[in-house]
Amino acid sequence: MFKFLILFTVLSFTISTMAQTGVDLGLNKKKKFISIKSLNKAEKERIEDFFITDNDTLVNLKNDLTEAELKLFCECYTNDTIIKKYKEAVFQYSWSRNKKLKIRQWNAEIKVYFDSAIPKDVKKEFIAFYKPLNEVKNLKIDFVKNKDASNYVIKTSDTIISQFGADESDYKETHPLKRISYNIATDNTYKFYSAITLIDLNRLEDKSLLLQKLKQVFFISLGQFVVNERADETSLLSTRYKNSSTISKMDITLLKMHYLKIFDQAISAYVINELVKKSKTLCTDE
Amino acid sequence: MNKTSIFLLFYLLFFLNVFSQNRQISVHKDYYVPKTSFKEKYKPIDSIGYLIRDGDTLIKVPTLIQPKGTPVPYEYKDSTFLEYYKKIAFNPIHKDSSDTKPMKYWKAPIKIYFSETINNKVIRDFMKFTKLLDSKIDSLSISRVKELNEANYIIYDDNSFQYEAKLNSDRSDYWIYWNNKNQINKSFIRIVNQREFSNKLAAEKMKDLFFSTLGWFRKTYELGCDSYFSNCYSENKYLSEFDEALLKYHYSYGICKGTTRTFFEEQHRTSKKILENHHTKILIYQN
Repeated sequence: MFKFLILFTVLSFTISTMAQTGVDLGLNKKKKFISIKSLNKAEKERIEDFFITDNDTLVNLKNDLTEAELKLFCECYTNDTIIKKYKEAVFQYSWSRNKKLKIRQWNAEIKVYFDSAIPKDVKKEFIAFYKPLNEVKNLKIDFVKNKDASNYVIKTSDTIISQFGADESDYKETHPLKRISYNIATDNTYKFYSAITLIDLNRLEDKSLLLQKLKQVFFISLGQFVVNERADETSLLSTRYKNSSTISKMDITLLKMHYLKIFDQAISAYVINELVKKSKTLCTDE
Repeated sequence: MNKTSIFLLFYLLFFLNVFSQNRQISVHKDYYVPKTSFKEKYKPIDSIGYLIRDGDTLIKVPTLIQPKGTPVPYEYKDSTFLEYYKKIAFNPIHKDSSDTKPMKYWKAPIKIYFSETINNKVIRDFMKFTKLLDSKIDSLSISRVKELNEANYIIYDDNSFQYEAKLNSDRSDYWIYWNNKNQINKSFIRIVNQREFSNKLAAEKMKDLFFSTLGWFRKTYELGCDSYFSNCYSENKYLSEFDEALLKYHYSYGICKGTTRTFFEEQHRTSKKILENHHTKILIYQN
């Protein structure tokens, strides 16, 4: 009986968080036409538009938020501290209203492959560090042993990496982007689908910085985030990051906000400000 | 119109003489053709009358001269579906142009040659995809050939001999050629290994590019990324019901091939009007 009660509670929770709210942020406009035959009763209630083919009806469903998504939206967009840190992470400045700068998200499960030149203990600690990201919805990270199954490669470089041009000597080796670079492939809708991180291990004088650099650059590449010295020392986006064995709660929150939904429309700083305004009316009962 | 013709067959007068004893039926047919068809197929002497219907002049002729080719009934489609089809199948002449360039399609069987540098696993994965397309679309025939001179489709990467000089950017891409009937007769795909650095990425890109070359398709912002007609990446792309329906339609004989969007729209406007107002059959002749 007790087991049944637990199962019932878990199921009820799952169903309630999966339930739709009818709240549409208007940022997912692409249509996915599927056969009406594949829908269950609840899904049939959510048909937005349709057309008829020779022997089927293809339908597109509404793209409203689930209850869990709305809850997360309200937690993030009504919290001034989170919004400030998020805008700094994505647009560099919290006051940005720029319509041209767009957020970038991964629209694929990230399958990371480590080149054999990366020490095993570094690899092990890296994987353990990023394990908590499993709780971030819409962001999936996996580690693969075969390069041919990967879309994210971390390897050493055989050429000199210079990110800072003539100012190279002004930046200490502890700067997250010194002796390391990343290159991400983006599709037409600002979505990432593959990446390569290169680290100049030979020229890295303090080898103990290797893990810290890989962790920071990997985090940056999850949204082409901006590093800055104003960020807390506990944040991977800080130029003063104090290496820690666990990822900070705020960094996880930033990712949760960033991956609230995979948006198919371009999201600028202006749109983020509009979402903040929208939260004032949507989240009044929270 | 060229060699593709729409032929409208009007059965206007039916005289039925029913004999009570032997139930023999005699049918009288009069043939009327549109003025454009009359000018193409008949001499002035063949005109034996005319009538005006819905503002169009139809010329009465003694016998029916059928166009060359096999007649296939016009394929009616939902207007929402046609809007998507037009956005995907017709490339604009320039961004402000009211008409488009003609749609393109494959008439000849597609014979693919892979350069030796393409990984076998990628080829197997890719050929599985082409086999699916081949089985779903009647008019498409896709196979692999081992000899370069037998191929009309070459897939290579930046490590092999560069078969097409126009493909030289740092992005994987395709290039197609067509003849004066807008039939695609040669195609190339070039994979850039620096970008598609794993078998997974190479196979995905190859399928995506190949799909575009089946009709010089324009990827759209309006469809979800899982569709091969969508302009965004998805690792879960599959031949959806929508993709299949649209590709089948592109290769259906029930529409005129190699036309511009304006002609395509005119054909549908006329055909739908006829279907709504008359009990008649519309035949499309494809050569």
